[in-house]
Amino acid sequence: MFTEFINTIYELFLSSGFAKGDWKQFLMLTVACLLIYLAVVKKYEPLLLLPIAFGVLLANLPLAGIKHPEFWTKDYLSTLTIGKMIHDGWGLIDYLYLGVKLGIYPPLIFLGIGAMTDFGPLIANPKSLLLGAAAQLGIFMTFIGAILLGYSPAEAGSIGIIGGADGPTAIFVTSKLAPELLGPIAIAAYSYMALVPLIQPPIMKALTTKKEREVVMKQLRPVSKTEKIIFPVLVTLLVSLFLPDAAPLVGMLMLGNLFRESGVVERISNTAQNELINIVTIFLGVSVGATASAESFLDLKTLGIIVLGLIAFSFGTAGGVLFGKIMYWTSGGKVNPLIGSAGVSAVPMAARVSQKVGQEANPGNFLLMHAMGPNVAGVIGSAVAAGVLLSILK
Amino acid sequence: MNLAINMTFVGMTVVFMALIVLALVISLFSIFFRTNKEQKTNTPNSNVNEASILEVEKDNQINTASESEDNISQGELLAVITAAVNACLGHRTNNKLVVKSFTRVSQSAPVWNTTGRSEYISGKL
Repeated sequence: MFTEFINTIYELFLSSGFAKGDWKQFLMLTVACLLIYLAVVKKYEPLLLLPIAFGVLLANLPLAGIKHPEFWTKDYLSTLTIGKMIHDGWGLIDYLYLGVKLGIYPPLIFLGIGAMTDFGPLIANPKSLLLGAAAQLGIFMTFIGAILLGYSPAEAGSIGIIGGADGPTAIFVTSKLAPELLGPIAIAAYSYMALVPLIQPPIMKALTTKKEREVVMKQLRPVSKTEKIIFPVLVTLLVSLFLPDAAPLVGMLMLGNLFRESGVVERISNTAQNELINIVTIFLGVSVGATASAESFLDLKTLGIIVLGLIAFSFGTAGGVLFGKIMYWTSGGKVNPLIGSAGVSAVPMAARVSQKVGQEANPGNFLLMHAMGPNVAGVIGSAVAAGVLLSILK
Repeated sequence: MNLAINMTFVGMTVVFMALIVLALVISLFSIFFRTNKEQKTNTPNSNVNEASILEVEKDNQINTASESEDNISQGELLAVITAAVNACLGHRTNNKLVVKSFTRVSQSAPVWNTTGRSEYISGKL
């Protein structure tokens, strides 16, 4: 009787996840717990890192079969029908992942970001668009580095876009170019964005003199409502005509901004910047996290992505600051080069870093509003860079 | 490797070109709107300080909103505004202040300016 009881318990244990799971899955569960810790305790971009981390946890539960990587092969997808989805037992995460695969979630997140963003500082000082362009240097320098390390061009493009410091853009580009790297790239992108206050200041200080950091910039001019309404329409037209591949991101970003600035669709604007972006963030985070299975994540490529991601952020910051220095010299010392580092997107964290480093040099200086120009220009710049990568590498 | 270098040059050139064109166009229309604004700002100055009577153009948007949605009468709002202006002027009894109507002025300072200022001030407290 007792032996039978022990045998039953033993068989139960043998069929459980504890016995069936391999060490890689348990290591990934530890990684997931570490990411949850970083999101909850250290507050590293918790809005996205928390759902991503839990997605990693769900995807690596032994025997749970929450996500099915076999459903995402080219052969399978080419014959996919709704009947096949039901027959093959698609799960919740598989259905949610369709939004990533089809490129739906990142543009919807951009819609919310557009509805939350005030482009006034950029309209008041259009030159800050150049800083947003210069900070994209990180993307392309990392592309070179990734090619040198043996990544394919499509993979290198996906790794490079981490330098855009824009999570939705990185996910959008990676889902099109190298979906197998989606998990590590999303985790690297969001982790480094959270680390912007640690990564940027040493680079900013190394590339500028105290005199340059002390520059007080003159007050920005007020921007009229008409300008703010024309701006999103104009940007959509110009960028989308120039680079059609950037249209989904830029178009939705500007649609959200038009909702905000027009003042006639307050309800839609509120939904875009609250409920919609929150719901999509949950779906995006969980489904992207679930792509980080042990087989795809525990690879030397992941290590390379983490190193190259840091290089991308550093070069982006350096590109912006160096272009800021050029503007400092050409303007006769009227531009503080520190605002250049904000060109790497990461809104509004990067602008706050410019403000903080500026105030360390000159406590009476206030750079936040000036840094917001390059900061929001960086969002447009990284979307344009994404369009370039997609149009050449897709 | 050639592809990588080529991509870097093409990428940075395209990003710069796109944003330079955008910057130029924005500069153009900002010049246009600035001159328009300057013309407008000349007119209200002449009406200031005529008496202690505030003449402000009527705002239909606020009227309809207040009547239909918030149920706050225009009279109450006028009373609050009058009290606020009076308080600013130092509660002098000889003030012949009459607020006849009011209008909502759209926010001209960027939100980031306002946020920045308030953060700066709170940092000093």
